Amino acid sequence: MKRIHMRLILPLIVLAVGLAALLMNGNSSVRSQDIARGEALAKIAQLNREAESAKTGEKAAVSQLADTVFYQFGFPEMDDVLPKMKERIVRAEMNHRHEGKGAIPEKNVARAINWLVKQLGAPDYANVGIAQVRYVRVNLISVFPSFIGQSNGKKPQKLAINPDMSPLEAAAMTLILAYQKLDNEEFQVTPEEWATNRHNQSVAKWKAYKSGSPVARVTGAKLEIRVESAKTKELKQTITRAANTLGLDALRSLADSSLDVLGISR
Amino acid sequence: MKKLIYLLLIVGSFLITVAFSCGPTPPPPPPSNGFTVLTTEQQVVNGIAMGPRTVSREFASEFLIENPPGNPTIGTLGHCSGTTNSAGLFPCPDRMVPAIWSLTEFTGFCAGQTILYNVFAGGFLNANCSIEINTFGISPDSVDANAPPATIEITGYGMSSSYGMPVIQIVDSYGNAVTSTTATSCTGSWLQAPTPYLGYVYSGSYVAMVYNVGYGGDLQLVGGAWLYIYGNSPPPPDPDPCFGVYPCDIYPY
Repeated sequence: MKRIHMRLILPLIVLAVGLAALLMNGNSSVRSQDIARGEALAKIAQLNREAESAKTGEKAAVSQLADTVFYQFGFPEMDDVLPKMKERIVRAEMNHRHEGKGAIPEKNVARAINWLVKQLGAPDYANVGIAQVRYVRVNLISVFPSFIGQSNGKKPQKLAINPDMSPLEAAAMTLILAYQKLDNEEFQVTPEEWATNRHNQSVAKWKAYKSGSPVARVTGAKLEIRVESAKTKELKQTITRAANTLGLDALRSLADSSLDVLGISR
Repeated sequence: MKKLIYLLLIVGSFLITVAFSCGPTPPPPPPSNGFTVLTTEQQVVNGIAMGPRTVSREFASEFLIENPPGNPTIGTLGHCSGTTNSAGLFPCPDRMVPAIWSLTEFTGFCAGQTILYNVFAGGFLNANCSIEINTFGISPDSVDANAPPATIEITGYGMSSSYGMPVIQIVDSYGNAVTSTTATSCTGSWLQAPTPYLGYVYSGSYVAMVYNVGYGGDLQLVGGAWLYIYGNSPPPPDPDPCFGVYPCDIYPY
């Protein structure tokens, strides 16, 4: 009798222990996700708060904002270079805030990246067009409303975003677009191909809606294996080759000269 | 019998604790015959990916099958778990490779998610948690331009009706304002507004930008949510790379 009880009870206990484990794991996963989401939103709120404070042009506030912006929009490959460029960018940002001068047009972001592409001998798909700069800014403005589109320059009435940028925003946009070119396959095409691809994607999405089977919007978090695309590898090899040929000092000097092209005064 | 049940429960609890606590231990040097786990996190804002950052994450990884199947593996262990350090690294030496392993994260945004990966001796497994960040939401998030709902609702933060009801501007992917509406009710985190007339709006993605009215009547952007409008003509071709700015001059050499 005892054995029969054991045979019945043991699987039940194992099942109960398993269920408890699943529930504990499920609950802790949700808690962990909530904490992580809270932290991410807090960082975004912090950047917006710091951007508000920096509107005074006060040095400490601008410097603090620059650190946060470099972390938020930079990427590991730039971590060593950015501190060296920071002083110049902060100075330009302060001048812009105090005197209203030195606004940077979107065109200059494209020019700065395209100039670097030429200097490094990178392929044509690394070039950037003005439409891409605007597209990225419009996509980010709803999340960083206190930072994006806050230049003192005059805004055309039909536009919801000022086409002129403050020096720090221009530097941030250069970083973001450089990263898209380095790692985002959607952007690893020439500006002309990008415009064509975007239109084709829009039409495909429109057709999907028209046929009543729209593709679900991507939301939440997704764990994935990070694999570099062939173009990412090619671009990284190009940069490494340039570093070997030119030397690290020359590369740093290139980064400084790219700020000239961007329109940030020395 | 009762004693046995208690014993099983104690053993079960212990196993759960061991399986899900995985406390941080100082990582040994990188393995040559196993692999190294690298955990990163990457924010994606409306499709624009930010640079990935290394993060410390608790994980467990299990050997599934040698790859190619039937081929011999080097290494003896089929399990690796722990917490990656602040550089996102955790070495898994003497693990069976080349093989397909699973990896589950227990902390962070992707907690509870599992991926499968092909790992080689001395290789890195970069488990990247990609997070879509939205600070504002809109309901509905897609609207038929010819049969729109009477109202739209937006959730977010910082919305205020102190000096007037917030204004919602519908803006295309390039910042052109196509139409607008004014909220009829608003709390700090929610507003409702009549859907503006969309009959002439091209199908496509738009952002509903929310502006608070300032003390002097000026509009202050507080955030926005993406909205898909369909039902009308297909989206027009995207602008040329120069975006109508002439002289274009985007190649300074």
